[in-house]
Amino acid sequence: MAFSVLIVDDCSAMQSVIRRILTISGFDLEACYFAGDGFEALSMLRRHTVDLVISDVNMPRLDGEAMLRCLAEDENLRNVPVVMVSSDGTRSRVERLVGMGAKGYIVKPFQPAALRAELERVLEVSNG
Amino acid sequence: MADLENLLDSAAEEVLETMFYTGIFGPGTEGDGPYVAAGVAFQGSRNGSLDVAAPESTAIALAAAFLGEDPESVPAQQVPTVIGELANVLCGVVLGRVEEGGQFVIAPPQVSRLDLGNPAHNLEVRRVFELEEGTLSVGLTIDPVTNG
Repeated sequence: MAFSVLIVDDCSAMQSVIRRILTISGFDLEACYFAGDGFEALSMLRRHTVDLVISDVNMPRLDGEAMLRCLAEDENLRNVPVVMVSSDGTRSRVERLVGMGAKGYIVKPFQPAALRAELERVLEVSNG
Repeated sequence: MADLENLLDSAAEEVLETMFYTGIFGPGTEGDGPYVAAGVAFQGSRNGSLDVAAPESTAIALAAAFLGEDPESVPAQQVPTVIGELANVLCGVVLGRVEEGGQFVIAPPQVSRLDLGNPAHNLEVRRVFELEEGTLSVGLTIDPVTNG
């Protein structure tokens, strides 16, 4: 099944790596959008329909945590599944973000297979 | 100090193997510049900073491995960005091990190109690693005082 994804990361190299992993993992990408922070992500999400958001946590202007809060408050966007990708793997951070609505969490450094498995799990759950 | 050195060694090994597809051969020796360098500051349960620096040729090779491209085709502006991401990821791993259960905020990486040598000289703990791609320096400064 083809799907659309939004990759949110202030590191353009990380955006490229995630997109490359999606491609080599065999995901059928209908569209792949990019945003450099939470503000850009919200703007993109109001203009484009996506099936999944993959987002960094620590970002300038509006970080991943604040973005999750904004998504939860927007009735048009609150059901978009978000997978967080972060170098912060502390339990308190993971639990807080999952409690705020993140459907998945990947801790950097990660193997491509680990990201693929987490995305498949989240897409499967989201698509019922 | 030895604990921090061991911690830096194991964290660097994990990050380099997992996302840069390279390994550490052993201790390295610093060469002459220019260096591509990046640092991240962190605050929370402990405060401090972590810096990485690599000769330009090593930085290009690491960026190529990270991006899955040939070194010749890596855009020049991506090289410091990748070294910044290396500092960011390495810092996350180190902090998770320095203080399990701690809470930290890692600031966005600051990257620079230095012609005068390695910036990590004055850091509290510094390790120089020999990689297939060249040498990589990692320095860590960490405040022993906890903020509660």
